[in-house]
Amino acid sequence: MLKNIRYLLSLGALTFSVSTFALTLNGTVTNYDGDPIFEAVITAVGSIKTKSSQTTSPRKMDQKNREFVSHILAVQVGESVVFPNSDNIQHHIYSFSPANSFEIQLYKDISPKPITFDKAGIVVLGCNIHDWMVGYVYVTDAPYFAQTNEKGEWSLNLPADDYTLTLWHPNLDTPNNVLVQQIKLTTEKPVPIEHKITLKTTSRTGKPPTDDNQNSLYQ
Amino acid sequence: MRHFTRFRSRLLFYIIGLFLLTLSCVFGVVNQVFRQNSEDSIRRELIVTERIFLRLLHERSSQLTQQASALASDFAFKRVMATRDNATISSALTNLSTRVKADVSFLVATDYGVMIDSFAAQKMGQLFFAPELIKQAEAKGKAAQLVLINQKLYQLIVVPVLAPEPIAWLCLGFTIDNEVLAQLKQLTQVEISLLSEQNTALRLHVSTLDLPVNQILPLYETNADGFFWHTDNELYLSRLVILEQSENKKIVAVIERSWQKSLENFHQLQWLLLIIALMSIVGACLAAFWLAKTVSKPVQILAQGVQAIGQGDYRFQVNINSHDEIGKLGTAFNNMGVQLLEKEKIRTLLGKMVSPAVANELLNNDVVLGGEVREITALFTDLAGFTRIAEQISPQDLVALLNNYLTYMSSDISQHAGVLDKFIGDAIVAFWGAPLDDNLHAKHAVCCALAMQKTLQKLRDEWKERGLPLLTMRIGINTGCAVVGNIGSIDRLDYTMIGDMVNLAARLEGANKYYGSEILISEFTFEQIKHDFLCRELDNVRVQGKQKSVAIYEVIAEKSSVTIEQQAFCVAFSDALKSFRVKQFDDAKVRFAELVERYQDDASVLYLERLESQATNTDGANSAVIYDLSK
Repeated sequence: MLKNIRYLLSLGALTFSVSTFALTLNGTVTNYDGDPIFEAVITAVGSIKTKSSQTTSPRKMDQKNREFVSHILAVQVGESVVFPNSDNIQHHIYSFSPANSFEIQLYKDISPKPITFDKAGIVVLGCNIHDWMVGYVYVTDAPYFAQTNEKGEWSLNLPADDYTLTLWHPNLDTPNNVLVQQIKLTTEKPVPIEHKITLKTTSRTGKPPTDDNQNSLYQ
Repeated sequence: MRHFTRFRSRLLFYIIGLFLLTLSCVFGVVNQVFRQNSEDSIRRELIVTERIFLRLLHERSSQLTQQASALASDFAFKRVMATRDNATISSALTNLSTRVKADVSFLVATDYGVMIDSFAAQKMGQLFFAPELIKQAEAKGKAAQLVLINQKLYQLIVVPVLAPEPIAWLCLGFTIDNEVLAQLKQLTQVEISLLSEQNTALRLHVSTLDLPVNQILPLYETNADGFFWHTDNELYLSRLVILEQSENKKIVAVIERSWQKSLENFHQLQWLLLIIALMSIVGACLAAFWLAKTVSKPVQILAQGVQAIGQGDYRFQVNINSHDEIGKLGTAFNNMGVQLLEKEKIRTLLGKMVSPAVANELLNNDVVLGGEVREITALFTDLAGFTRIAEQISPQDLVALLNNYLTYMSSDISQHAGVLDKFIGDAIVAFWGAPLDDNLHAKHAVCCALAMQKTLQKLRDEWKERGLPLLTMRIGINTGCAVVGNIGSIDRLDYTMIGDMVNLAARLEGANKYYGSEILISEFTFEQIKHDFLCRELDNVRVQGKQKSVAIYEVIAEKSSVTIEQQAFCVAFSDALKSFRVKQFDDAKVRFAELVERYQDDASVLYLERLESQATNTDGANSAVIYDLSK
């Protein structure tokens, strides 16, 4: 819902100030079979240093049915994230990532303090008592970023400039799981960017074990 | 074969030989089949065992992997990892390793750099010695491999330390030592050896066998069903299993079974077979012995029978109580004995009826009527005065006496190869020169006559003791051609002789009475025996129906036993006869008178009487010289 509102707002802005301010860059991320890739992170860094505007903070990464929701959350440096527990069992969130290592020991029914992410980097989250649970907080210092929706679509409102566009997904089959490309945005309507990517096959889906993957190695 | 001249031994030898041959064939076949089967089954078992062995290794590695995974999930350890304090991490790692009794442990960073090494053999940050193992773990979440570290075999397990993504790789190594192999051996029941091959050099690391450490195995094809190899005193059927293989390194397991132990069952079977064989041989021996006995015993009995028959005992009967061929042979043999006995009886009886020579001739040739002309010598005898004594003694005694006399005489005739023609009361007729050829028939006849006189002399001694009157025997012998053959009807035959010369012989026998002599022979006989016997010419006689007169001689003795007196007597008589024949009657009278006086010679008495009648009847002087035998 929030996304939809943001989408409508930016659509409105585009309608009102086409020439001066912003262009809307659309794109899709799919695999080679055409299946959409969900929650992939797109960042854009332009030549002009701009201080990106704060989004609504604190952001939220919930735990439902013994998994992180969202699985991947992109935040800007300095943003804080709350980790509520919607399950009726306790969870023990930890991260030993150099970007931000923290721990929220066994808790439920309370809303713990938001965690502020000060360093750019990938923060991998786990639950001490549920080995399969994995969540990613993508802390970026890029002024513009977006995540794909369930259809694999994303859009960014960008002023005309030269951009370094970066695509990240934890399972992306590239070094450091990123795909970087340079684009030039003029005042003309930009051509939508279509990313076709390959994800590494992994049994680490972040979802609780089912009968099928009960014997999975990472349990 | 010299030792097997006895039928029984030979039969035993052949039966047992055949039996042994069969047994050894059976034994050989069983041996071959059993060995082949054993080998095949061991090969099959080894294939199964190989799978079990690999499965067990896999299970062990799975088990170790699970243990390692559990360790890697230790949250405290993850926290320690987050401190990045190497000393603490190393200590914690040692702590973990002891929990699962790992022999070596490594911690490898995600960039394959070594973080911690329990051996301290690899320096920090150096590339891990088996990066491919980490790569494998990255792809599959775990990895396990047999590796050689410092020439020792380890089962190396690699699992990630998840937070919750891999932040490092935990490598735990477990030594494969004799204890591990002993467990595997207990489960698989085979001997196991683990070897490594590096640049074609083979090295033994661990084994359930007590092998020399530097035992070098030749390398065999691993996909072969198996191969045999020897230690100093054992033979093994083995399989080579490749456990790990890289470019220049190979880790192989040799799983093997002792061939001898596998054949233990067979050895039991062999013993059993041997015992059965021995018992069978003993049984066969007894059977062969019994068989040989049942065959050879009757043969021995038959041989005895044949020997008895050969010695003339036709009454010998064999006793074989069986109904087979041998029994039939025994019956046939007995029948043969009976028939031979029958024939012998006939021969004996015939010999009594006729002369043995004639009997043989009759038995051996078909009896045919008819005869042939042969030169023979005929002999006639008679007992002088027998009729007279017949009136003096009982008929029984008479027959006994006569039988006794005839027995001795016929015996003499037989001994001199004469043919006894017939007895006519006390008279005997015999001949020589038929049916068998005999060139010396005259000599044999004369010789026989002398022998008969000698026999009679002995009989007379016997008779004298019994008070019987003394009897003299007159013998006449003549030689000449006569018809001899089987004469009579087809039912009753005599082998006899017919002819004038036979009559002359009979006459000469009678003439003895006239001349007082005992043996008279004709000139025809004399001509053939004159060199062997001393004879004196007695007279010339006229034979009825013949113009020519025949000279007759008295047989004195065999020349070899002539006394001087006999010689002188003969010469004197011859001189006297010569004087008589040349008509010097006075001289003849003196000479004959002297012979009578000196030798009591009956013939000389006869001539003196003739001289007397000569003096009274001068007319018939010539005619009186020839005596007419028919008188």
